[in-house]
Amino acid sequence: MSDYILNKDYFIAVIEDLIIMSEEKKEYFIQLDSAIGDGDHGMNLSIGFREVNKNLEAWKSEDINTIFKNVGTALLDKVGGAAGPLYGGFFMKFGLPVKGKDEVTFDEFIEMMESGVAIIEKRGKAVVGDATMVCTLRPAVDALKKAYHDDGLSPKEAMKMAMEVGAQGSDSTVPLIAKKGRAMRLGERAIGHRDPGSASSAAMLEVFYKHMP
Amino acid sequence: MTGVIIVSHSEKLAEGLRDIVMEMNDGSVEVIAAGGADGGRIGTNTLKIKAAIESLAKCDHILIFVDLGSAVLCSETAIEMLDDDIQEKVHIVDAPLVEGVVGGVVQATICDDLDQIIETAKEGATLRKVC
Repeated sequence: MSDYILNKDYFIAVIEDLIIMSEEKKEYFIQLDSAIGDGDHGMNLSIGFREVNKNLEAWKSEDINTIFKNVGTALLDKVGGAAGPLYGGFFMKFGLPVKGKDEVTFDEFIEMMESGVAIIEKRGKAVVGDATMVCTLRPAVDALKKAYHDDGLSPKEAMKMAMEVGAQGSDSTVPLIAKKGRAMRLGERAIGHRDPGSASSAAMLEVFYKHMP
Repeated sequence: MTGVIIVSHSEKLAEGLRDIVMEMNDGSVEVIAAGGADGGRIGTNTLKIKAAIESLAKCDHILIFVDLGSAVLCSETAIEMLDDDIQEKVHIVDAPLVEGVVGGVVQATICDDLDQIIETAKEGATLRKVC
């Protein structure tokens, strides 16, 4: 599997599909966030990725890290809620392990995922069980590492595993009392609601899987 | 010299609070309203906060007052993005927004002692309005 390569075309396809996903799921994220938060998660992501869409063509000649840094900065600027620094941070750190490169190995891809998720954990000061994006992303990245390194799954199978574990992680937020964000103030009223950040994170993992060769 | 940044989800709230406190400011404290998300929407904007901090770089200390959740997260992110020498000067004050800003700015017109200014701002949390 050492000759498995993810090239820039893959990452650009992912970004293009994240733009589409953020429009398609906008109403869904708004509904989730309206139930327990301020209702702006869907609109925020859509505005953020529209800004990415406006500029993506001009960024395509850059290396992978620079493209994702630009994506992150756009989200940081345009996304109004906590998702701005969180997803902004994710994409700004995502390409750091492969600075200057136009293609990456699957080991490097795993490092990129870890780097992105780590900044979300650090900035959000959240752990699994707090009913946030981390409930999706941390188990997903851990599953990705285990599936590829320990269980010998192919990159695509490993990413599928990560996507499925991430979706289960998002499901796990439904019965939880939220420990972060505005939903925290609701106490038990948050029980029975899916965390919107965990849902958008799961949708992003799906996009990363879908385009993987 | 002390610099103060007001970070609210509402641009109007941040500006309105700045108006209130400027009545008591003799001009010795720089106060910047950095409220609202991009385009005046409700929310907070990391890059706006970062620009506010940078514009106060000449101040000895810079105090950030915040309203709700992501105001803290965005402020922390903005600080992280700056050089170490500016970072050291910036403090997010754990105080109620209105009482904290008023108390902090007034104290900063009286003295230049960082601990005293922060202490006064924090006292806003226990200030009784109705006796």
